[in-house]
Amino acid sequence: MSLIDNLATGFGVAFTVVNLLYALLGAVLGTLIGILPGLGPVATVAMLLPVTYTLEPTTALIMLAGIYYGAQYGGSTTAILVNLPGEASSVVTTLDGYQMAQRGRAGQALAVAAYGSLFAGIVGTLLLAALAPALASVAIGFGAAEYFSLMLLGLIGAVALASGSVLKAIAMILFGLLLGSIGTDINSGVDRYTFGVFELGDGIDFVVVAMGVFGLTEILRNVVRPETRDLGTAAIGGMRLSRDEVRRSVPAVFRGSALGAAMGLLPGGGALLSSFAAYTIEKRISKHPQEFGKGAIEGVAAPESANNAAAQSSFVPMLTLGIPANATTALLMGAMMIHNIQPGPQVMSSHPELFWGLIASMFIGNVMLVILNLPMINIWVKLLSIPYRLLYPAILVFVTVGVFSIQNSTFLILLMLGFGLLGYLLSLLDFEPAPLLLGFILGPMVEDNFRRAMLISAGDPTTFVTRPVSAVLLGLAVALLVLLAFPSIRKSREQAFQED
Amino acid sequence: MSSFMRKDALAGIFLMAVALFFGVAGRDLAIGRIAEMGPGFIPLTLAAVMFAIGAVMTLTAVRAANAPALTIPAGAVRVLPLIFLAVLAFVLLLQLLGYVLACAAMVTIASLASPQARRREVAISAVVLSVLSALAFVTLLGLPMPLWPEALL
Repeated sequence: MSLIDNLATGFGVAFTVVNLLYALLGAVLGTLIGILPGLGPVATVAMLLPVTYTLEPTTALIMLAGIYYGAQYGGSTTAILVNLPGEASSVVTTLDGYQMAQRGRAGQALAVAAYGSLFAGIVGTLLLAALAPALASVAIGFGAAEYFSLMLLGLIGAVALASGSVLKAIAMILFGLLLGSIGTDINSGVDRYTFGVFELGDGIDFVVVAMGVFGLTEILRNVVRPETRDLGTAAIGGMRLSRDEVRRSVPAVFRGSALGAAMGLLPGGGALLSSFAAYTIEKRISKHPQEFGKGAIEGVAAPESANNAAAQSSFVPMLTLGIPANATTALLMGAMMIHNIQPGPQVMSSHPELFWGLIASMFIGNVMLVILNLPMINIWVKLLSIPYRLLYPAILVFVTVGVFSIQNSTFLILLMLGFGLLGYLLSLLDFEPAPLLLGFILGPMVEDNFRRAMLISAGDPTTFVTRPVSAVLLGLAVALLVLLAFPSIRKSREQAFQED
Repeated sequence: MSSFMRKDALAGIFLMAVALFFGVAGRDLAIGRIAEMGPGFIPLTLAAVMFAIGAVMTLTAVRAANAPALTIPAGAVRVLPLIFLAVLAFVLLLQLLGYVLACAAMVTIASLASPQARRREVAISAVVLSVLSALAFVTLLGLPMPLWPEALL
């Protein structure tokens, strides 16, 4: 089947009333949490996972994906109007977006962010549609050794792209892998680290971990930090772009989209990192770098395009290889497993309606988001006047009841409290939670494939380097690790993360 | 300041403690052979590596000329216990008093964690949130939780 046929199938699925409604719901929720600082897509997707148990898997994924890329749209609004990132990936947008607003061009900044995101969303989704089948057809021949090497590459990629200390990121992956080993060992049937607790027999539900280290920890950190939100929002004004602004932003949107789409493919990549990279590049190649930080429209156009392009393309590794690129796609992968769909190269052939329906819904969702974000901007801005002290008790209720609903058990609520405390402790010690979640989700698969590869090769570890595909993947992982150890690269990597 | 109070020294100690926990709690798991790994092979290996990383991290931080100390934000002493107490109250009161009252208790205690809490606002959000979430989760989604105290029914 050609791409056009596949997309036609997808649009047939996405254009049903139910799926359109849930795409809209995802887009609305995404915009909402994008606008509200202190509530991110990871926590929101985790909170809503239990609600989607009753939905069709395709419908559930359409909605959850909409939250992720919808947040990229909403985040820019807060960045531009109140100088606060509504979403982590909009941090750099505050630099020039807020300055544009101070100069009476808030409307133009919002418009260029929305149009840039739309273009980038379409580019990212097209890339996903074009690249996924090719990648899946390669991956379908993978054996245990190849899968192990691929996951190792993914985990090391997550280390490379995490901010802060490399050693700490590796430690968090190990911690995640160890947490993933809790529960019954599938090979021997022996209980590991369950301490006789019935609820731990199947392992810790990843929603509990995600809600604890992302949801609850976020609440704790935000409430501890005194409220600094300045409620004065800039006036929006007209949204019509001048000829000069169009001339300057179009190439920036192109560059941002291309960069974001490419970086989204990398493990550990995604929206946050690509927006930083896009801003840095714009500043470096600009003919008037002195304008950056003072309201340069390229400084809004490029990172906002990049983060949305990356949000779409980060679905490629998840949907084709079964390897999540970041915490949000890891949760979406979990959502597929809840519905008994094993993520991996076979999804495209075994569940074409899910795969192509999701992709088609991304085109529809992006168009919905521009409509939601531009003409209706004034409604969203009102939300910014809700203080966090009223918001977080509501989030807490959602988190608590959401965890309860997984198994209708209060034990999981207590477990979630434990992970919330752990998450807060980790943040005090400058550990990042994302590699932990990635390690936790991949853990059982890494172990299973490693043990199977060793079983097949009768304990000969050279199997990983004598099989060509596995050798290449492993070589890439080692190269990445060596690169990270180089002092000059380490320095420039640290600088890249400090430029916020 | 003791050089063990440095952030990275404590981070290393934390990693060693976690590794030790997984090592000790998993001491009875069979390791097996590389061709036929037992349930303990992977977790115990991972714990050993994690312990080594923690040791390296602590030693590096202690021997460094200067490294940032751990700072606990002042607000944490008030916020953390109150939020945990709020969720614990919900868990304890759920079967006893039913969802509506347990949720109201959770919202009230959690709201007090914020230094900007105002009495009127807290009361209003306790009522609004518990009633709305009861309708959404218990009535509409049908989660198996009692709505009201059993004694009243």
